[in-house]
Amino acid sequence: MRTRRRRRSVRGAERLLTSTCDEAEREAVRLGGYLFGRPPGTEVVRAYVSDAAVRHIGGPVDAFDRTLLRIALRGELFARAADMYARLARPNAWLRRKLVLLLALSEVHGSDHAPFHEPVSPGMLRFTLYAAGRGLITLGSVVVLSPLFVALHLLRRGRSAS
Amino acid sequence: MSTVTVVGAGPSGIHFADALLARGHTVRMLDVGERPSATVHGEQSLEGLKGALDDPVRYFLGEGLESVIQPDHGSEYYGLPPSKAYVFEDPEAVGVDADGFEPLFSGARGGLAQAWTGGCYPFNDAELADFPFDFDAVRPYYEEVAGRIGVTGVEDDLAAFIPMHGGLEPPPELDRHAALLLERYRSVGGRLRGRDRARLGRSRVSVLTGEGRAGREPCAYLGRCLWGCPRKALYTPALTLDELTGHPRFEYLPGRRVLRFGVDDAQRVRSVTWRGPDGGPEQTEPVEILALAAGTLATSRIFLESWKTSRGDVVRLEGLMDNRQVMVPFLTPARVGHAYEPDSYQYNLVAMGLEADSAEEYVHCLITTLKTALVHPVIQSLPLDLRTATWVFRHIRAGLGLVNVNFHDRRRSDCYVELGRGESSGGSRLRIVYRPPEDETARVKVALRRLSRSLRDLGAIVPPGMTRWRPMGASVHYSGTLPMTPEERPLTTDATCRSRDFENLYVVDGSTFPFLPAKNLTFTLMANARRVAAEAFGG
Repeated sequence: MRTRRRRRSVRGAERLLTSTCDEAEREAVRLGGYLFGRPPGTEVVRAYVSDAAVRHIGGPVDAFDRTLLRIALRGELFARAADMYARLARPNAWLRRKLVLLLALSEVHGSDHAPFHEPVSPGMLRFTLYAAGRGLITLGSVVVLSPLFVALHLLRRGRSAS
Repeated sequence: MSTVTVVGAGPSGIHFADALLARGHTVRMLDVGERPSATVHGEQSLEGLKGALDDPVRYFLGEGLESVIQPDHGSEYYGLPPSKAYVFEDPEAVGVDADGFEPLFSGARGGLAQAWTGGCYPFNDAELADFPFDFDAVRPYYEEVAGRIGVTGVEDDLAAFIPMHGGLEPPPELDRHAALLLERYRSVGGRLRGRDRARLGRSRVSVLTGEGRAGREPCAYLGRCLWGCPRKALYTPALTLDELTGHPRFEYLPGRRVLRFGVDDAQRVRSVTWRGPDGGPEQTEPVEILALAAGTLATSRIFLESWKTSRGDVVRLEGLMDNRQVMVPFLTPARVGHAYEPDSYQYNLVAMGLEADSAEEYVHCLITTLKTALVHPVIQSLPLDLRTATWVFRHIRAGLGLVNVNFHDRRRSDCYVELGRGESSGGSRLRIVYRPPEDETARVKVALRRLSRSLRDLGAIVPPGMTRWRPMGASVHYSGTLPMTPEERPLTTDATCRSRDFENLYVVDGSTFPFLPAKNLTFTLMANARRVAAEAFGG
């Protein structure tokens, strides 16, 4: 129920974007939706699409990076799996750099920084149970998408070898 | 009365100048002199600034987002805020070739200590064994500095390693995490002292907690220590420089990067040559007495360049030292799920000392409980996807901490500075070579095991795989290239830090330290500079 509500709010935010808006704004909304369960504020989105942000994220990007990003933009579970894969296999992936940038921009805006400091489950036991649950979700998404990542990984290795 | 030309406005130069002025001398201070930008929103807390600033991205992350720490950034858990970017110079622009060392340079008014964490730890007799004075001899100068800048501390278990002296103020208020660690120490301290030879106590830091003084106000726990305390409660050398600029016998001359000094046939210094920070023509001016206080690396370069110009041959300054630092994150499960405290003193409030077989090899651990900081570097370092990592982080934030473990260093011939090939705007390029001691890895591992055990007894966990060795050069405690020695030989200084090669040249920064204990050296830099002023220029 809660997840459905969150998804609706991310989709609602996307609908509010004008048809002429930049693809990068859509990306910020989707990645923010994945990271925080709700779309980032307008100031964060504006900062994410700024020239400084584009320069910051810039650098060599290959087809694998683009594919990983496309997968992440398909939805929350895809994003989670792609992110986890990047964390383990390619820490400096384009996707990961974009997510870290979005994290950094969100944590310095008063309206967006609550996810960084508000605890919701006091006590070690509840924290452990929550954490285990979240870990299982991540693990599940990685397992479900693992054939795709294995294929991508082999493709990447094949390309770099040639 | 003499006119002394001081090169550099870091902690050594400023306290040397202050002590000279108090003795009736005249001081001219040549400095690069970079200034910080203006302080914003004087009474806002760091968290409050996130809502109050028109452009928080620019303030917190920088115009070019240079303070965003990406996964390829290296071994740091913290990034420097843009407000402190002025403190550091680009090593490439300065002209440095380093091997095994990642040097930091500063052209800032106040030097590298403008970005320090305020640690004030006097050296004890064992650590001063190679110095030409003991603790009792330097104690009055520690007290003079403490009275001048405000140093906090109490007599606790750490006094076994860190000698007590007068002029200490009450320490800043503890946050709940730090208080919990100290409370546990009261019940398990006996085991720590016996098994691991570890002791816990309050940090000694330079922050005003009592009454305000000289335009400074006591700490109001705004959580902005690293960003630049708007109340000036946390001491930085530029505060003393601000005071000195009103003195009738003090002349501060910024915009001058000193390249070398010139000498006469009797090897007496007669002039200094400088040029602007961004280049421009060289300019020369006469000096009566010269004191180099530009920081060990910059001082060494000036010395080497002057030697080459005046004597025609090239020498190497051996014995470069710096503290190895290892960062050890920890988690205190009892704090999980609690709210973190943004309104608190940001830096370390407690410290742990690890006794060594040889007293001077003491290991000093600064324990910082995580409060205000940019946290995305910590979140992305967790071995999780970022959504889960953010969720986990927010629940454990109040229980997170970081231990900065410091190790001593000795002068060795395979760690040196010399002039390199080519030129830069700062003069000849400087070549820096550093090789860690052979036993370092084993020594560090043993200390880290003892630390982990002690933290476990205090109810904290050290997560595996997250300990990070900072590169040599990162601690910025450079020293040892022109040491004070009892025997007279070239490329050394006497007990008053006077050069044995140039009669009217004094070296009053860390270059003259013959040994580097595991403690932050800045307090001793300031005390030693005052000692030299008193002993060489009248008591």
